[in-house]
Amino acid sequence: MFEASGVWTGYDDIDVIKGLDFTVGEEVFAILGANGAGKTTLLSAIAGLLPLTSGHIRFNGETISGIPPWRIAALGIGFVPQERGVFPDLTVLDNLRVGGLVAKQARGERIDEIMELFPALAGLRNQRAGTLSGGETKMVAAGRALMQDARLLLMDEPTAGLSPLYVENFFDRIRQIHETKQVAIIITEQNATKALEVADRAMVLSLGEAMTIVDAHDLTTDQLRKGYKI
Amino acid sequence: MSAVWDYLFGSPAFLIFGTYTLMMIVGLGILLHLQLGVTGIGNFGVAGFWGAGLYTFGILQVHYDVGFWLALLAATAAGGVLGAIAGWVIADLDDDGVLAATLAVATIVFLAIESEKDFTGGRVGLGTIDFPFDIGERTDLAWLAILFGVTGLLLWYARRVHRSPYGRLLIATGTNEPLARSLRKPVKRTKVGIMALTSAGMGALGGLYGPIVHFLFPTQLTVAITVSVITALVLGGQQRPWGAFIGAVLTVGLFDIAIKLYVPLPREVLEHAFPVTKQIIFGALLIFVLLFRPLGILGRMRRERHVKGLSRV
Ligand SMILES: Nc1ncnc2c1ncn2[C@@H]1O[C@H](COP(=O)(O)OP(=O)(O)OP(=O)(O)O)[C@@H](O)[C@H]1O
Ligand SMILES: [Mg+2]
Repeated sequence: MFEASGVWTGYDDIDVIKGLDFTVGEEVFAILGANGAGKTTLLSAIAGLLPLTSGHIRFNGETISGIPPWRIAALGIGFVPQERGVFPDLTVLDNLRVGGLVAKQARGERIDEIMELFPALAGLRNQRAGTLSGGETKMVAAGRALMQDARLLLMDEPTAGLSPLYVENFFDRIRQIHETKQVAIIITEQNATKALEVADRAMVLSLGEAMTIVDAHDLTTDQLRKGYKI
Repeated sequence: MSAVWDYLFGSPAFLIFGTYTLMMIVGLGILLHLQLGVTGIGNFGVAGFWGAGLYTFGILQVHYDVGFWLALLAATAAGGVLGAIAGWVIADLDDDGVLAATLAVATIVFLAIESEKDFTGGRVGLGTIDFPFDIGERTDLAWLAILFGVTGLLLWYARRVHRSPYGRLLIATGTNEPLARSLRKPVKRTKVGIMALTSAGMGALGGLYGPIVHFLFPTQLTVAITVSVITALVLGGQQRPWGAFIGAVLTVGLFDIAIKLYVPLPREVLEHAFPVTKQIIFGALLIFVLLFRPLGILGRMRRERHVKGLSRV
């Protein structure tokens, strides 16, 4: 459903992503890599927030590289950024409702589903998102992207900065989202061990190039080491 | 009794004119609230959008004998078109860029009006503009009532926006634009839209100001009015619909109306020391507010508290 071919992108004169080719099906796809490997850059480019220098990205048969981010969102790609993933001045509920073009009734059901997925949010409906804890913020950010009828979720380090127990729980939720909602997920992670537990396949990104793309349980420590340059 | 009456309303013309100004500041402040407090667009060119409406109205009435309603409609359109253009220009700029660009819009409007002669009269002025109706001595009061109505309407609209899906989109855009870009609505269209809408309102207020002054001069469109509006709004609370009202009462209301009317200051003081002292006090108040209560007297925007909307979706 998702296909990147020959993707180059970066900032001004610096190319960060240097010729990536990969496809993502109905699966959880992990992108691993050290700090600065280009994970955020790649996801931003997929979401349409960064132009490609060359290459193509296709989603469900349509070329999405070069079209504005709001249209990419409308095609069903939800982006959960690494930082600032919520609208701080809106309540939790309004964060879920904002910008959704979903019919009112469907929206109510959708919100109930998200509250079921993240029960902790139910009691926080009317709290300003700017006052939530780190973990709660991540839940709202994920829920917000799901609200927009996402068929593919891009999650940039969704568990960074969370306590270990929380991380465990969050990865369970990610798996659950994938299985119950038939949403494909591209997730970037530093914490390889955890990510590999939920992912079907993984790509190790090293300085903007793909070192390996393999089934998640086939990834060896050696391959990881090489990718992380340790 | 009559002594008290005389004391309170001894110079009705002055009181009425002061209240006109107050209502203008409040009305513009409510519109600026939608731009700045809700959508995060720091418009430093309020005088330009308002002035575009004022002069469009004046030119049509004076030179072309256009009727009141049509002239008012044109004033509204002038503000709206200018707002749309400004919105398009500033959509991709950062905060400093927005301030500079909107100030530039106002400066262009000012210079165009000042240097043009055939239509605007330049510095000589443009007039006269009369009220669209004449009911004798009460005309002034009736016009004031209309202004109250218009301001009330703006307030009602701003409060409605806060609770609407449109308002959510504006707040989202204002508080986290990078994230708003991956919503299913284009940020640029949102910004152009709100700028066109609110600037149309500013243009309409400009049109309504025409009959009050009868004669239009470029000096009416200096940055002074923008500063008054911003001071009132920031002081009262930029994120709240009532903010401009509270702020305007505390600034224009207190200093330009109450003190001038009821405090027997010597003429000398009123003419020289007073305006300067006033500016210093406003400046100090602004600094105080920004330091200790950055969101103004009314504070943060209130959105659906715990009691309300628990089950509403
Ligand atoms: N806005 C920017 N302008 C210029 N260079 C940037 C910008 N953002 C990121 N970079 C550079 O691009 C490279 C990749 O950054 P990116 O944020 O994609 O890494 P990452 O893999 O997400 O890292 P992390 O795990 O720390 O989040 C880095 O060298 C970074 O310095
Ligand atoms: Mg990153």
